[in-house]
Amino acid sequence: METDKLSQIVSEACGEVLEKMMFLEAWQKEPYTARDFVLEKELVGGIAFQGEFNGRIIVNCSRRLAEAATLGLLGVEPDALLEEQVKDTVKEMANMICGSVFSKIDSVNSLVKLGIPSCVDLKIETFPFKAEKEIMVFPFSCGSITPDSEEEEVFLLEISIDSQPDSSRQNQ
Amino acid sequence: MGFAFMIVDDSVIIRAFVRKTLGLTGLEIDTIVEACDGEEGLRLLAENKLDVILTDINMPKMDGLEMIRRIRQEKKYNTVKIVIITTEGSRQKVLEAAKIGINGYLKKPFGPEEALEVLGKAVTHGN
Repeated sequence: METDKLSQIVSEACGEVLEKMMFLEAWQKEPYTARDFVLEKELVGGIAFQGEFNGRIIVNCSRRLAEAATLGLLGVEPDALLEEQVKDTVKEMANMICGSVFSKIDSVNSLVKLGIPSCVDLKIETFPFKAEKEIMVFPFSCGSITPDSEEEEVFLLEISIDSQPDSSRQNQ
Repeated sequence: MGFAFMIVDDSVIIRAFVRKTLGLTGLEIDTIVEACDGEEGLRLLAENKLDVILTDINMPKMDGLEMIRRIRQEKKYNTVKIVIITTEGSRQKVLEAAKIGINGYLKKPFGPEEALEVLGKAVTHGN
């Protein structure tokens, strides 16, 4: 698949998930490639997929963004947040974005079977996966998400595809 | 008298989100019980008088499709409406679920409006 087309699909998928369920806005920044997963932020939500495409999608975000997303999902006060809920939100971001990306690539056929999502806190755990091939990194900005700071909140959506259908099959 | 719902999802955050969303639909709700997988869902179904089950597909232990198959094999649960909540919104996956007897599907991401539309149809028309 062309990078521009995938970039557009990823942008739509992230926008829908964050706006509709977490009440956050997200603007895609310039995508780039990397030799392995870029782990700049504290929390990593990831999900593997297998089928026509094999690989993994991860969301790498700050705890602050994960908490804002959880508050948006649940509509509760910040004091009421639980650690399990915050980590579950990051898992679900990866899960929903991954599902949305593949259903936008092909809305008729199930291209992949999704695994069970997981979340790693990089302050206390090591991310256990390495990319087999070059990965695509799609940075997103959510702007400033706290009233007391103008700092731009950025998260990374990263896609590692280990194998995909050859072009002759795609054209059939 | 309101409806009795069961939410089946391995994600604590999605269960809480669905519970919140149900409250925003305006549907009359008596009770909501929660299960974290298909096995627990079957157990809670046997213990409670339920009207509507909202279930994820992709779960550990017993997935949503297997749970639905087992429910639809039991005549005593004929009146229970089942709505699947899925991230895999392809037509193929939905058709697979439809063959074993669902009354609607909600594709994540969704909000109260979509939930009301799907659940309203499910509880009034059955599909």
